[in-house]
Order: sequence, then structure tokens, then C-alpha cells
Amino acid sequence: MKKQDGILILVLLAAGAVFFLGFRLWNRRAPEDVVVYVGEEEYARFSVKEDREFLIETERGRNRLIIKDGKADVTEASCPDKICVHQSPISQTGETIVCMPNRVIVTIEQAGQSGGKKVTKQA
Amino acid sequence: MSKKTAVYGMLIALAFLLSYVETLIPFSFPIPGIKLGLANLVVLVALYSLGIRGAFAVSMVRILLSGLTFSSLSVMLYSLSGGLLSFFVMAAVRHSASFSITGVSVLGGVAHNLGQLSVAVWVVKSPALLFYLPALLIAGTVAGALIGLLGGLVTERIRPFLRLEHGADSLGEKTD
Repeated sequence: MKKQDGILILVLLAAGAVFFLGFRLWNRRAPEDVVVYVGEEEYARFSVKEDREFLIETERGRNRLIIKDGKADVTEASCPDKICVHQSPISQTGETIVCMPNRVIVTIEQAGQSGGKKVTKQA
Repeated sequence: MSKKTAVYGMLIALAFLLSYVETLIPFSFPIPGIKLGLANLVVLVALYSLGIRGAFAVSMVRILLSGLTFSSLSVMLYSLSGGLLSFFVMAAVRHSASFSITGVSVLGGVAHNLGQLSVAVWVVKSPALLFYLPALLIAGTVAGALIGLLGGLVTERIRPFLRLEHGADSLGEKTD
């Protein structure tokens, strides 16, 4: 391993950390809504403070969303890989759970922050 | 010619096998797309012993085979986008004097994850997925470094047996 390899690794790790912190700072506002998108369309929006269970049913498949104690979690999915089910619950603004096969995105936003296709500022 | 066929067949079989081994790893990371990329070890070794065209063939056949066997066409689309971007980046920096095989592998790992994430963002048309960017960047770096270190050790040992029409060129491991 050369010195440049080490520098490259450190730079990339630092870039990851900077992106992570920047993302956290950018989304520092209090989390309020759990928003479900199917593709780019807003499908449902709930307050993160109210416990509930919700079934996302589309022609691609089914996901079960549970909101409990201010956290949103996907606990069941019809897709084969179950990556969304394995992901830990989310509670901070900007955090996202995605189920690619079903095109389902569960993300946390501020109340009325965006809707439908105007999600660009979320990035 | 027959030796060449045998070597390609062997490397493709090995990459295919490692794709299978990867599916056996019992715990999955909580972020989609994070994995070790064991099969890339073979692509990396091929890049350093067979050259660009040979490594490209091994990589593409591997993705096709393991995609058809272990996953679906849609998952294969992500493998392919990650695999292509990763390959082109690694091929581009392969002869750079700055990086050894470890650095090349790190860039390949990061490129792989960025390629997959880009396709995912394009498929769901939602920038909310960029939430995964930091984790994928770090995971690609770590996985790439591990595979690169391993690839250096393997290449050093098997290259004498794989040497075909390519002359011996340095692994870039000489420290400065």
C-alpha cells in the first residue's frame, strides 16, 4: 500500500463524515411528519407523534409501516430482499427507509415541508 | 489459446462462486447496498493479471450469471450500473503511478456504490435517497480497501501462473 492510498482512504472517510454531519445539521429542525412516497408521488403523511399502523398497498406490493414512540419503522414487506424491514427505525428529519422493489420511500420531514414532486430541497 | 480459455473459465467460476459465498453472509447491514463485494476480488486480480479486456469480460459474465442465478433482473440493473462504473474507474486509474492496487480497489468500491445509488435515485426519482450517500461512501471505502489488500496478496502469488500475453508490470506496491 502506498502513501497515496492511505491519503485517498482518509479523504473518502472524511468526506463521508462531512456529508453525514452536514446532512444532520441541514435537517436539524424538529421532526414532525412521517411521509410515505410511492415513486415521486406523496402517498400518505402522518404525525410522528401519533402511534399508528399503516399498510402501504400498491400494484407493486405491500409494506407495513408502524409509527411508535416518535419512530417510524417498516416491519413487513412483500419484496424478496427485506432490506427495508432490516433497517432500524427512523426518527430524525431527513432519515429515510426505502423499499426499492416497491418504489416505497418512508422519510421524516417537517410539517408541510413539501409535497408530491417538490421534494428537491429535501436533498 | 486453450490456456487462455481455461484461465478465463476458472476466474469466472471463482467470481461466480464468491458471489454465492457473499449471499451466505448471515447478517445484512441496515443500509441497502452495503456489502463486501467479494466477487470484485476476482475482477481486481484479473485487471492486474489479464489486463483490461480480460477483466471486463470476467466482470460482465459474472454479473450476468450471478444476477440470473441469485437475484432478479431489476437487482441485476443495479449490479450492472455499479459494476460498469466501478470497472471503468478502476481501469482508468490502473496505470496511475499514484495508487497501488489498494487505492484502485477503494476507488472501484466507492464508484460501485455511487453508480448504484445514482440508478436508485433515477428509478424512484426522489432525492430523499441521498440520505444513504455518507454511509455508502464510507462502506465503499472500507470494503474497497479490504478487497484491495486481499487482491494484492492474491495477485502477487497467482500472477506467474496466469501470465498470458501480458508482460510483467508492477503491482504499484513499491513504496516511495
